[in-house]
Amino acid sequence: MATNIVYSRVASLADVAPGTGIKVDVGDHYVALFNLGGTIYAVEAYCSHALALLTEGRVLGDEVECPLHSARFSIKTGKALCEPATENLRTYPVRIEDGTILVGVPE
Amino acid sequence: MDLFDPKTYAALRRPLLEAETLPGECYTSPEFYQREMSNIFLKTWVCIGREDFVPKAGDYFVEKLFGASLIVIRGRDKKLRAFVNACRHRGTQMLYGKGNCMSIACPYHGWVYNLDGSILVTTFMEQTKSLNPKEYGLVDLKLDTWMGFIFVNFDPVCEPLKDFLAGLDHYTESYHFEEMKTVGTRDWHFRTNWKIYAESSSEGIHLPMVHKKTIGHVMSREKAKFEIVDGRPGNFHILRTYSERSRAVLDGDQGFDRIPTLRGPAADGAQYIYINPFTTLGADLDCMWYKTVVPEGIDKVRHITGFCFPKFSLERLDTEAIMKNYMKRFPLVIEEDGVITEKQWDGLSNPHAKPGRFAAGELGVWLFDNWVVDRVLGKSPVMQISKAAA
Repeated sequence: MATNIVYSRVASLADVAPGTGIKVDVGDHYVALFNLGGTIYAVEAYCSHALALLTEGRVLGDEVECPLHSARFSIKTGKALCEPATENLRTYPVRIEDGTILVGVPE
Repeated sequence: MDLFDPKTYAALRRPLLEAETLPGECYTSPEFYQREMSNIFLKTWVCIGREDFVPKAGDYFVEKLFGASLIVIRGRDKKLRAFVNACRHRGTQMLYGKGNCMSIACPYHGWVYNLDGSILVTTFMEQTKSLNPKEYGLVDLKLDTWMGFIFVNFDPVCEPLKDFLAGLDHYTESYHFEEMKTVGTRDWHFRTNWKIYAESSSEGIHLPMVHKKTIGHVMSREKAKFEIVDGRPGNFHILRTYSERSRAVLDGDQGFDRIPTLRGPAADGAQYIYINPFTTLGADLDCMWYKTVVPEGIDKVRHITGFCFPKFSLERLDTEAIMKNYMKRFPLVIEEDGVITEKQWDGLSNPHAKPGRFAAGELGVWLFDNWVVDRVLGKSPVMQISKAAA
């Protein structure tokens, strides 16, 4: 059965400067919003290796580097790109409405 | 004088109005302080904060007690835990201040711990022999809560907190401290011995002199009645007052409404509840403030105060305006107490000072001093005093 996705307003576009990320809480989900060239992507906020906060890491192109042990993930797909991370990050759908960022999480 | 010979305290052990006060050396002796450290500070429950400091999973704060930095953190299972704030690799302090995290990481070499203190990641240890990660989780301390207060105990075989506080609920349950919100905290440092501050919190007869500019009139003008409640075998005593108005704001200033649930002793007036060894709760008709006086040396205390209000008082249109009256009063009175405790330190540390006597209104001081001596001498938690004094 398809899961219902519920969208919540979490931030404005102005809150996320290009090439940076911020963390938002959406219910029980901890989400990192990254701005890549004006497009917003949403992925799980904590590194799948040792739970460091990814928004404290460096954005390198369309990848984010974990600030703790330097694992890298694709911001667009959540894929773990190098060790020590082996598990991919969850990704979340994003909508933009009148300059407001909405993130979808399962109901 | 042998400070660890029970005979030294024979005069203290007499009934209140026949007893003598503690010798000055009990406040100034490094050896006595070391015995307090080993027999009291590291063996009793210490109030370290409030549960609403850390409401969400991953919320933490760091506090320092007796030279030890501690982490208090709420786990993903919503349970509160306390850990020694030192990495098990080579001892680096990991967290500072307060914040939120999903794991505790050491900034030196990247060891990481789960929020329950167990190891999540070690680094560069592949060749280390016989390293069982399960044995290298964070060192934990006993932690328990009571009415929204967080207590920790360095003694792994201590009595349960509920036993330590036995009998206190009768005087406190109708306030619902656990539902109050801590609106702020503040620290002070005073140049005094911790027992001096405890003693000043245990009697009300200093009000007319020390607090003449603030709350001193409660004795003369309002004819306040004070009564000491002896909490034995629990580890508390209470300075009860009888009053129709809150003492948490100055005369003429508006306060919040009375807490509607107050029953029994709580309904009669403010109660100053002294929980041995370090914590006072100022439980008034409209609010509660707490202070924990942490020794940082023989002649130095850190005074941590928190201010707590029932939620209905914080939802008024005029909350901000009225709150200013409380925040004006609290530091004035605390600083008045601080100043007098420094003067008493100056006097008691005079090498020629001699023990004195207790006034009838100083039963709380006498109870506290006997509690301390019991533990310094290594007696059981139940106070052993002469039958004539009971």
